[in-house]
Amino acid sequence: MLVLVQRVMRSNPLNPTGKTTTGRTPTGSRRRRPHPARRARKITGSLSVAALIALTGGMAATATSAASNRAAASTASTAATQSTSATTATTPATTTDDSASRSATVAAVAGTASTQSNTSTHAS
Amino acid sequence: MGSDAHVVVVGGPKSLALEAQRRIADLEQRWSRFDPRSEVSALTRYAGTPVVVSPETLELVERALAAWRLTNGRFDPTVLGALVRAGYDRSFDELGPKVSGGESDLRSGADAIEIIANTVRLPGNTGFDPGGIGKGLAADIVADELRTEGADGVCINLGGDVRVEGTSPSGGAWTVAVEHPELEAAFARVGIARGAVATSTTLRRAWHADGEARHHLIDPVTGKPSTSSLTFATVVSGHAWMAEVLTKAVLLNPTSTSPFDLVEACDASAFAIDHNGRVFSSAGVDAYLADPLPNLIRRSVAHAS
Repeated sequence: MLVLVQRVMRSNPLNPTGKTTTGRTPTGSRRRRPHPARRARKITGSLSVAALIALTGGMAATATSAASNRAAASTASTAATQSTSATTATTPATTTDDSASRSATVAAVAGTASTQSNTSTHAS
Repeated sequence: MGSDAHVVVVGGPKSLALEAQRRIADLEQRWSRFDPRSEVSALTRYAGTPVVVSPETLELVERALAAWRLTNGRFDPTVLGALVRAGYDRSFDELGPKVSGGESDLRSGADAIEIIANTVRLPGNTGFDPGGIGKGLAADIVADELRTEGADGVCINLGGDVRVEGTSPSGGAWTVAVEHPELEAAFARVGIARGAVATSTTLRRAWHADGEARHHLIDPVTGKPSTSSLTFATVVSGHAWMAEVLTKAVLLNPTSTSPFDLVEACDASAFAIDHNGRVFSSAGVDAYLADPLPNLIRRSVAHAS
């Protein structure tokens, strides 16, 4: 199978040239150097918040994992039961696919054709 | 799927174009009836037994059964045995112009296919062939995934089953040219903002076997290549899988006086051509066309197969 792939870039209306710009450091005013202890206090605070998030996230993940394991076990059990019944079923057990039925009523949206086609439908 | 693919991705992350290529190859690997390792081949090989399949293949079987019900059996995904007996027992690229009819005792049986959880069970001695619906559904899946992943616009064309979404490279609607195997140039242009266009014909994927002209479109009623007077159909619909199914419904419609009954019931539009080159169209198709359709198609190239 031959696959022809085309990628079309859209121009950025905010930066039509596509050139990147670099930030410039202001040199007109002098910044006062913060006290070293202030930075240390910030780092300590950040670490505390991060630790709290990691701890609660880990607890949540454990709970979710346990729940999914229970769900998976439940699904597997159901599938096994259904599989057994399928071998003895005498009537078709095909599922009713609502999404397929809905798709049947989805219409395409007409647009104005241009002289230049994007692709072609050729019977195969 | 035995066809060429054409993918256009507008905007979005750089990786999307390659992702589309990878995904199409992935779906072909799952759905090719010519690949003995595919899930579709496994369904036929283990007919009579539930086979665990991927969500994609489950969706394929669900769509195929929905199409079978919708078309009242005109689309049948279990005509594989009839296809093989007609001589189409290998990839069309490997099929010569003259072949012998193949042997197969596979029979049809879409009414007894069972889907339970993530398993599919064909009735014993039945073969599954997704046919064109695989190309259409693959186009739908890939288009939806690329849009979800940030593409501004996508066009997925798998062997003539086209699905478009979002903005075209020019920023407006998409234009799909409609080609006929006996014409040098496209004879129609479809303008579509979002949705799908699919075309089927009995003039391609045709061969000679045992002294008879044969083609890939099996009539489930007779189990043989159709003898319908219509030889070409194009359908515009919301999804490519549905457009593909409706082309088959048009070509196999037993009432040639109203071949578009199902198309119009599905809120789709279509046009078709018979073996004399006469062009027919459904209500509403003009809204999609750049120019009025010709009344008659006159052959301008040698018959292609």
